[in-house]
Amino acid sequence: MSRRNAVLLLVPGLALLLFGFLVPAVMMLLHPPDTPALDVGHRLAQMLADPFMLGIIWRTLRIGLIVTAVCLLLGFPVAYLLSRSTSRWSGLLLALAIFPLLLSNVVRTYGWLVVLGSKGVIAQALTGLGITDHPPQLLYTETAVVAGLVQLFLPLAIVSCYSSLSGIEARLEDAARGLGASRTATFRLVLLPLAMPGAVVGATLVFAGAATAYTTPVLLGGTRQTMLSLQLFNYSSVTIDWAGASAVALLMTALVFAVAGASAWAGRRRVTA
Amino acid sequence: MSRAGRSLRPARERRPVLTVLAVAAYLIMLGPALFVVAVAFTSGSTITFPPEGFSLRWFGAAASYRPFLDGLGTSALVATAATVIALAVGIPATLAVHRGRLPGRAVVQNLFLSPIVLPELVLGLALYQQLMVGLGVTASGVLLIGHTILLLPYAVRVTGASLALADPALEEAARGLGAGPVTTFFRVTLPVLRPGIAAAAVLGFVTSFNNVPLSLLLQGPGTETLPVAMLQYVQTSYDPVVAAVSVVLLLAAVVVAVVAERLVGFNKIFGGIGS
Amino acid sequence: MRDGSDAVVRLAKVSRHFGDVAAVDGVDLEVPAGSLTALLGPSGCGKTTTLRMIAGYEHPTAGQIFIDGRDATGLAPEKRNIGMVFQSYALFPHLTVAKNVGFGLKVRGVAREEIRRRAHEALELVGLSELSGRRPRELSGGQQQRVALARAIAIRPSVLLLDEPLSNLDARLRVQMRAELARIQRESGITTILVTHDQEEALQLADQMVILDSGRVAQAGHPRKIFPAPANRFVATFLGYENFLTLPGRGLVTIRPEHVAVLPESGTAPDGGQSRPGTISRITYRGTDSLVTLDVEGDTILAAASDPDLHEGSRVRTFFPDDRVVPLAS
Repeated sequence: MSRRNAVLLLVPGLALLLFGFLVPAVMMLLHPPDTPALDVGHRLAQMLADPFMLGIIWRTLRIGLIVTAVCLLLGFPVAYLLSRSTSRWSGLLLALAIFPLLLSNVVRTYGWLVVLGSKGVIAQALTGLGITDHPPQLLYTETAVVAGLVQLFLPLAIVSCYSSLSGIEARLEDAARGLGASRTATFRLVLLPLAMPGAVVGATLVFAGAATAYTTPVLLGGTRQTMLSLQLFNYSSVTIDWAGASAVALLMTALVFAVAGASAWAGRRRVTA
Repeated sequence: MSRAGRSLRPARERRPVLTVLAVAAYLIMLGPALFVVAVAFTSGSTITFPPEGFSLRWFGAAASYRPFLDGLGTSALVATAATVIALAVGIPATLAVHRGRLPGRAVVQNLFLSPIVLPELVLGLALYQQLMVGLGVTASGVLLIGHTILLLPYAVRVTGASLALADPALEEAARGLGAGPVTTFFRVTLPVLRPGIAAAAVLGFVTSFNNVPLSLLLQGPGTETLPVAMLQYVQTSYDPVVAAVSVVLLLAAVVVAVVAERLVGFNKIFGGIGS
Repeated sequence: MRDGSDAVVRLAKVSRHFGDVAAVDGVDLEVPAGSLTALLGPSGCGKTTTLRMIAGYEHPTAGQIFIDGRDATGLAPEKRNIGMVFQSYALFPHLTVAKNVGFGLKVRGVAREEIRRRAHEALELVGLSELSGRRPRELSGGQQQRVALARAIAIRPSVLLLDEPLSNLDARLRVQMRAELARIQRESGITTILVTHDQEEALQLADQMVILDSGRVAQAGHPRKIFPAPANRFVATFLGYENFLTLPGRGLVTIRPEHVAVLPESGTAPDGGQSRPGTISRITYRGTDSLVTLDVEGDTILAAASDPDLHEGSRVRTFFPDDRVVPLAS
């Protein structure tokens, strides 16, 4: 392929990226509609000094980190067992773990309304077993949001861990055990360092998704558990505060990038240490 | 040597902690969906578990609710169009990146993958602000652009992975046998890429169809997608109509999974998302 | 533009530079009709780049390439009527064996019946006509190799280009396919250029052997001419010569181990050669004879000997017959 032809093939895609992505993204920060230039920076400074906004940032970060930790804690074992299984069911089990990715977040989150609702599974179970007549409020809590997001992003964590674990020969573990390493030592000294790149990718994807999710916090957290994503929607579609929306968008993106950078750095350190 | 000493690891070593965590993972992932299925068949009028009686009334209600029907049409249309455009633009770009001996091809490739790093809500905001409000592009136009941008990284990455596996000598062989560049593309490159294209198409369609953030921000008259209609319904009413819709979508997802399995392999298509 | 020679392929001062590096540097080459020319050399010597320039996949930075007497230097591969067999075979995975073989005819607009007939013919030549309905992935490596060959032959190319065609086969199959290749080339009479790093392959198959060193032709000619008389140390080393020493009046020479005589230290030196004192450092028993490693005034010399009285550490006299010593250009 000549260089000229190659460039021609790239033109439609580059034009689309430029017009439909790069320019709007940059202009969103530089010049939102109906706002004076540099207003976004001004709003950003205001937000970083506003305790209410700082609370939202902190909640977003906290929920994102908790969800990431739980997803890895639950997802890694699934990925490990599947990657080491010789059963003919393991393919189906992997497919079952991936299957939720085919469903809309609305459908997946809706299930928690049935589980956590005031007449839902847990509440009915508690009253039915006579434990309490007044089941606690489960919906519209931070726990509900975390549960919903964990469900949403577990498949991603499993798939990431699985792809790196399935590349690690089971014989390496046998070798470590043969050399006298206990099961825990084998995990810590052999498996974890080798699985780290996949786990870091998974953690980054899960955090990026959880910290910027909209559907789940709006359905399970309501207005009391507001996160940056809800705030962004509020500014752009309810109060029509363009500069505010742009500033929140910047905050959200920066948060994701910062955590991605930190986890990549931590992953490298863990491996080389 | 004693019998026990022969194998370093018993054939079936118990891993109780890992197993408990894995079971918990599956319960969290799939459990809520099972309750949704049960609630969809209730004859009661609230989301209550266990469901009160059995009826199909909520399926009937869903089928006669206009926003859901319109949303379904919009979603299917946008998902199809965005998938087709993303592939039409993405495949040539992939070819150029992998076969074009371009300087700085890594930069170009990363550029095509870059939309994936931006939170969807942020992409939606940028397009809403700048294209819809700023330039006055119609809601349906911006919705289509947004979804295409969303799918472009998948299209480029999945077909690119497929192209990277293909022997570059295949195209050279075709040329040597007398086929020109265009014939070579249609007779050799495209057929060889077919599994990758099929995978990208299924993945793209599902991703676009299910998207909420972009569709929510970019909705205008006549551009409300099904997931957005469902989201807005759940926020205002507490009856189980959405459970019925969810069951229908669940069945559709099963069909998609089976088709994907036949085409390329389900785990292959969707298992690549996290790597 | 015709070039006036009767060579099917002619390269005139062809060079290919990648940046500052010359992969091919001023190569002249003539491939006579019906011959089999082997481009031989270690990896990185420029043999594959030369072949790819003949096929049109790479373009020379200087010089000209003539195919069938016409200047093909800037021509696209599909306009050259070449039959290339790739190292990886490059069989189209989505097409059956018959469709693979018929591909070149189909894109030439040949009628369907004719394609079927000629594809069958080509498959028959390689002995695979019964597998025409299979897909490439259902074939063994050797079978894939034959299909690739049939595909290249089916278009009746001006020249058949083989890029390390046997390197992906196991040792036994390689020997078998080598004979098969010789038969097919003889039967079809197609002018052939073979790229290989295997000197045995080239010696056995080629009418013309072209040994390349760092992009330049180190020596070219019939194997029977080159093998007994390598021009320089590079060619000699590549052809498997291991003894290198400097003899008075002859300069740098090489000699095969079976031509080196190992004599008792005290005896008289025979005529018609030069003798040098040496010490046996090692004897490796090989069945019919032994390979004796000698230290001859600082040079390590290998000799084949069957005398049972030789022992490691013995002092001996080595003898290099004049008619067996090959002088090398330094």
